[in-house]
Amino acid sequence: MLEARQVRFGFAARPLLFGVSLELGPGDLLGLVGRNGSGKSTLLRICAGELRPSDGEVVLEGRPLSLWEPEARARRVGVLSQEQPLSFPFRVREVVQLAWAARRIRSGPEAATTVDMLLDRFDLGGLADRPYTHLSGGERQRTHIARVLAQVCVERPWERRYLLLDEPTNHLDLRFQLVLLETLRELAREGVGILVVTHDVVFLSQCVEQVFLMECGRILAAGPPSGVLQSPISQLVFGVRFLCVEPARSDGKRGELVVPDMTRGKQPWQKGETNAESGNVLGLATRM
Amino acid sequence: MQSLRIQRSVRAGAILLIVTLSSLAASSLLVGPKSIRWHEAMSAVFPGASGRTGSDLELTRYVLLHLCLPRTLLALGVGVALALAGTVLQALWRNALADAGVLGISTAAALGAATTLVGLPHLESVPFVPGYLHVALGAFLFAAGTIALLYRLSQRACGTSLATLLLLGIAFNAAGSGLLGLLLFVASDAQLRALTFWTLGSVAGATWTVTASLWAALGCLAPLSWRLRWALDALLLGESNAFYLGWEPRPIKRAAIWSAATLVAVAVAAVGPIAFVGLIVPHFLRLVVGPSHAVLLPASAIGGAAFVLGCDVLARCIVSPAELPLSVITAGLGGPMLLVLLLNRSAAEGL
Repeated sequence: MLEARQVRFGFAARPLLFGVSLELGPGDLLGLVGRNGSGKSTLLRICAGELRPSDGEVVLEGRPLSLWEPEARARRVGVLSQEQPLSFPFRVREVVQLAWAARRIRSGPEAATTVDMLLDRFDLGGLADRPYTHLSGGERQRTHIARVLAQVCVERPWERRYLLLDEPTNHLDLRFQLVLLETLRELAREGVGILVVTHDVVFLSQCVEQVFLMECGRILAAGPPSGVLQSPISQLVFGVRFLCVEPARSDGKRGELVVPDMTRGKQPWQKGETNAESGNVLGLATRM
Repeated sequence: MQSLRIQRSVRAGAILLIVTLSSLAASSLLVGPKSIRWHEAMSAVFPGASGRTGSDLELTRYVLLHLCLPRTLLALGVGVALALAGTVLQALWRNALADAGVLGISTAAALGAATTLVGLPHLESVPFVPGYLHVALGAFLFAAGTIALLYRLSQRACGTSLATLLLLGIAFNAAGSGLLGLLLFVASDAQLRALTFWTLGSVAGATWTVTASLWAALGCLAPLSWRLRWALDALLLGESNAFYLGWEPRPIKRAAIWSAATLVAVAVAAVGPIAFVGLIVPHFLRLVVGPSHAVLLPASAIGGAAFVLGCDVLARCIVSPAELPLSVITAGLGGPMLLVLLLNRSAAEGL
């Protein structure tokens, strides 16, 4: 379990988080949405241990995160950050192998197999020996996703692992969004706890089981994606209404897709009116 | 298959570098105002083998062992120190154009050395303390202070953009040159002459004391840089990512700053500021062997040694029997090389 307990963070002039709590258990697939500057990425960086909360604590497997050895922490918690400042011409394969730099695993057969598997999954096999600096935005993003997955890949299967992903769909085309989606579901089934921060609500509604809505450093609502996003509070936060679409599926299973209505209500609603009851409203924003 | 080919080309490159280095070292021993033939050198070093004796042989022997050999070793050591420092600094700033010279660290080291030379001349006469030591200490203090300050400032000014970094370098270089000018102004005539030649940078004054001190410092610092190789790789992904990968960025940065500062300081204190070595050598070799520090650090060390030694051999040959200051050659070669690299890079990557 990766837990943020009543976490506060910020500076005297500009507090960013007001006592936020979050639990990421093994196999959980959680999403974090909110407006720009609502504190999503800050919360993620606190959960990763990079930022120390001014109050409250982050606990990994019952032990404060700051007490973990950096190497042991890195084996359990993989983080995809939003910005990737790498500007040196590493080969794509080398970038993925950097995942293990701190563990001094260089190139065993097992490591090579893992790298090949991840490169193939994100269709980077043909680019494995190309310099990173020659890649497009989407190819770079896929490389970093592969690196983060390699970091927590099964080296010690008995250890629980967690992934914190900040805008993982950045630059990805629809095909690789689907690949990412399936990979994350697969990892969650294997018991990896995953937290996704994103503005891509369509991806989120497909990917996660539970969404947390953040605003002004607080979590305002939590629940299934359709419920939270269609609640009045989310409409208040985003200024947009969300439509819930249920695509017909041949296998008879139900699947929900949440789509923002960017027409600002000038066109009539077509299907799936707001469904506030299924979202659990936790509080109200103080500053709107 | 591909990686096998890469491994092979790395091995071929290493062999090429080492062959170049040894042939340069041989020519450095034999070239100079008193040029020595190969068989003369052999019979001077191993007098018993040829059966020849005489004062000429004694002279050759003296020139080889007390002038050429320390000079060659000093040039090698300076090359290793400056290229390693350049590699570490480029990783620290995640910028292939960071360099002790460009950032003003060399100027600061020179200023520190000059301050001790002019400000504390009586230290020269202290017995058992080689004159080199306090100069090195002055250079080190100024270089380390400058790196720490530069790093602070460039971090504060929104990350480490190239423009910020170069502008900071210009500011530091300008301030350093101004203060150096002030020291030249207050120096006595003898100090003025010594300082002027020293700021041009040359390995001509090599003695065994200087060479041995430099190599002793290298013996401590090169393993330290080598230990940082994985951490520097991780640092290239950014400080946040380095943290996520299981490194604490703070101690890495501290170790990188101190090792680079000390490397620059001992090199500058030994031979004066030598331009462009720390910039050109890692920059060029990164294009050849890739940015991974496990390969780049040793390649830079060998490449830097070969570059400085080659420049010193050239400096002795061009206007023989006189010789040019080393820095004139390194800057003369390094400047155009950098220009070519920059133009290529800007075409390829839109710098």
